[in-house]
Amino acid sequence: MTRLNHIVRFLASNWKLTAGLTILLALILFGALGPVLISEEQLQLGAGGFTKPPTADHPLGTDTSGRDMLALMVYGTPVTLKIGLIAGLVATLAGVFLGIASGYLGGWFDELVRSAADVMMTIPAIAVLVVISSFTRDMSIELMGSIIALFAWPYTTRAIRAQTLSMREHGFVRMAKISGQSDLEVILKELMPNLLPYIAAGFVSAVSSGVLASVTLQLLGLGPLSKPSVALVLNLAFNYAALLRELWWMWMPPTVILIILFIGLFLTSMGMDEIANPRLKGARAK
Amino acid sequence: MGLSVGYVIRRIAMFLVVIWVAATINFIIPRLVPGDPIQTMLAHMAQTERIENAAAITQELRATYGLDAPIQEQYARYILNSFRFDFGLSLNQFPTKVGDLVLRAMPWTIGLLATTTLLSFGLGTLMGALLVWRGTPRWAQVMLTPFTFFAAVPYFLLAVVFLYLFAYVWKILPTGGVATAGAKAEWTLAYVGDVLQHFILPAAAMALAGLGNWMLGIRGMMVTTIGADYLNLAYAKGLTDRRIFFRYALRNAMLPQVTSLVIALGHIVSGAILIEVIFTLPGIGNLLYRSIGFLDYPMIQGITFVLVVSVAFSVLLLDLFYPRLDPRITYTRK
Amino acid sequence: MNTDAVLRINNLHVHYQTPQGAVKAVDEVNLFVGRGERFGFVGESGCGKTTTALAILQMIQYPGKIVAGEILLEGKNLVELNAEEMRRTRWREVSLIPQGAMSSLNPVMRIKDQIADAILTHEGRSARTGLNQRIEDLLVTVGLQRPVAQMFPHELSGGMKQRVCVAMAIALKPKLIIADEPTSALDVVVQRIVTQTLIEVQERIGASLILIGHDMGLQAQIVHRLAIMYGGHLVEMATVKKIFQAPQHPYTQVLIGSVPSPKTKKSPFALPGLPPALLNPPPGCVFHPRCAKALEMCRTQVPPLHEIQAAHFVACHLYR
Repeated sequence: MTRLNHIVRFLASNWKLTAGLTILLALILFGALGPVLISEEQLQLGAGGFTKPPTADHPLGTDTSGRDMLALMVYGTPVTLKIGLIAGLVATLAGVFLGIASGYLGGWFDELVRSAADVMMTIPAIAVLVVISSFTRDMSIELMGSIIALFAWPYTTRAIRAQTLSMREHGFVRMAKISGQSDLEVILKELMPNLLPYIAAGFVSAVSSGVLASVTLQLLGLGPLSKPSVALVLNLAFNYAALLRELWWMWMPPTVILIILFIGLFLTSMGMDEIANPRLKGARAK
Repeated sequence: MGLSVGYVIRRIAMFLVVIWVAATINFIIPRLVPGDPIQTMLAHMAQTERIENAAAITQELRATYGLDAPIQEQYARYILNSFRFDFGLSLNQFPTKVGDLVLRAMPWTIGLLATTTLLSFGLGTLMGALLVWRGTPRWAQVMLTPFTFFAAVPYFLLAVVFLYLFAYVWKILPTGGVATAGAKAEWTLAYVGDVLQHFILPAAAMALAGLGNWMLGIRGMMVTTIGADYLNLAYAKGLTDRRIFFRYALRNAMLPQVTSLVIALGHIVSGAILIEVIFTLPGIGNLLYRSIGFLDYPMIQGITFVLVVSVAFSVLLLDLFYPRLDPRITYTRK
Repeated sequence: MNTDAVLRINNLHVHYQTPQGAVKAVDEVNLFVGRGERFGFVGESGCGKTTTALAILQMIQYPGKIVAGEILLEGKNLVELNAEEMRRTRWREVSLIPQGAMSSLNPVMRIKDQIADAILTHEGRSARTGLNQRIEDLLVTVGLQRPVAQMFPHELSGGMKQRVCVAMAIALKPKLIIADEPTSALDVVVQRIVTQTLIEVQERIGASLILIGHDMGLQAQIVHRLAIMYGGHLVEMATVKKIFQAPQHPYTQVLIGSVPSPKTKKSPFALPGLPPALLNPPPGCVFHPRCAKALEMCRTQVPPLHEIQAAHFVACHLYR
């Protein structure tokens, strides 16, 4: 009970995190519960007549291939989320491992990781992603997430390395070392718990940039084509000049869902930053 | 003090390495696909487009990629051609050179995006700094805060919303393109005005989305700088608030922002592909988009190479000029 | 000296507003600083000495606030000045040598530009002629070489930076210089040299000096008069000679007793208990919980500052 109280009070004190997580949770539920209400058959080509405005049968109308728009949203939202999550997870794992190792060990390993990260950061991810995905016409969701992570790990690694470096000099880490704990023990028992807020913040921003990269690629018509994702539907709307032809139901639902998704990610990320860096909270000098 | 010769050479070498890596990736990826790369390309193309001059294209591609030569020679030639920006002929607009098409599209992209990037950087940095400055009136802070939320929404979604509202619902701005259809491209006031009018919406979407990010970036740095001892002494010196803000606080808080600005300028081409697609502007982004649609591989590779080079070049310039901004960096040793 | 006071502080109260209540950082402080006098401020950290100095410059930051009192600089009440008037007063009439000289210079500005900033702001464009010469002369005055003007802070050692701060502080020949532990970050040898320089230039321009510090030994060599602060209160004020020969307040007695000397080998600090919590200070005299001579009335009544001999002020019930 007190624990619950604690959580409630914490969430109330950080409205950005609360709002962001609520939005993301709502989108996940939308994708998880939707299939119960709408059968996958609605995704079949020509299932409900071509390019029809909303009716009782198809509350959001149908697209040019006759697929139900609501079904596309319900089945497409988790696809977009999943790519971002995979990218975020891979990038965070790599960042934690490489960041702690290079920050804690230093030496040639640190030099190597830093140089690699520097080079990776100067290569525009989208350029390489475009080349890779234009040759691999139909990649899996997992592959796409991993490829995006390839360009996200330098950012998580750098953030965690910087924190590890500053913590390494702190008294409590030195104490632990002097008192005879092994490096692994120091890392797991002393560093990790203190790094957690930064890792969590890094994870959220890695997911955000993963979602952004995957959405951008899909809007260009690249990436997994066999699964309908929200961004791919919007790409289709671009191709059919849905705005010009006043087919509002074709572009508006994916746009709205993507805007909601990005706002949710943004607020969560801002809320996490306030935890990791309390000085930012309500930042304003008096 | 200043730059050592060794440092400059190292930086230029690094720049060349990045370009070499990019060219190598361009060389390897088509060859990782099983089977004859040209047959694969044509097969991919055939899925999307009807190919009329397949025989000519096949021959041209073989020549471009030098596929009949041994692999080392293929590689050497490809790298050499890459450094000369020679990517062969476009498949979609056969037989125009890739380089020519890129050059033709470049001014539009740079004209629109460099302007909006600089604009949103300047405004965003100033607004974000004022957001946490103690001399800023309360009402101004309240007015500035909502702009940070533009950082949440990617520019392309903002663009779709703007396009819908301003061009379709309220019909006060053109829906796309760089000029009214049929207008003659010449240096007259009317034409330039027409072009500018077409640029308002894409520029607004790009600038606003960037603005929020710049504001958040400088805000974090400014909070740190405001607590610095040298700011306290500046107050004690009785300097005007304005001078402390610009010369002492903003000047120092801005240093990391400048790095981001240069990187952002390098990324303008790749970062704004979709804006050109949404507003049908004839820039690099749209060229890439159409090339992807047609699977015009030489074009895709040529454009992505340009993207890599522009970022690498910006970073090189940054590294060479940054010591002028931050005297603490001397680069005698890295 | 009484009649010719450059600075006079009457009934100064500075409070920090916190959610738990007001923290009384400076409580009922009265003092004066004579013309050309070197005046020392001593006490533990958190005793209110730096806050008092910041109050003179009107640089108390939110949530701190001067809630009562006057600060008269040559008869002008600084507390009543508006922001613009105060800005013009700073540096021109009161300058500061900051505590953290290592980080008090703007890292991206040349030394000469930072000194020029202060001069041009207060003297206007007319000061431009011969400005470079004037800045270099200032640097020479504090024992630096002329090329230092062209340098950036990171190219200087800690002692050099502190000298730059001293040069900057005398640039406008102010009436009062406040030096907030100016040498605490330096090693002992450099400390001594910088202090010597400070005294020389202060005497040359005839300014008064307030030296804030916790090192009684250092203060004894420099200042004419000392004020001892404890828990936001000024507990004793007299000439250095009197303070060292006949300290009156029990806290001062402990402080004097703690100055190490080779003759008497004793434990350096013999004060039981902790410094007072200013959020919830003990009633009566703030020092009574740690005072060996506390009387019954010390628990209930705040002792006022009282002139027990000529120019010797003590706030203690023992001397009423």
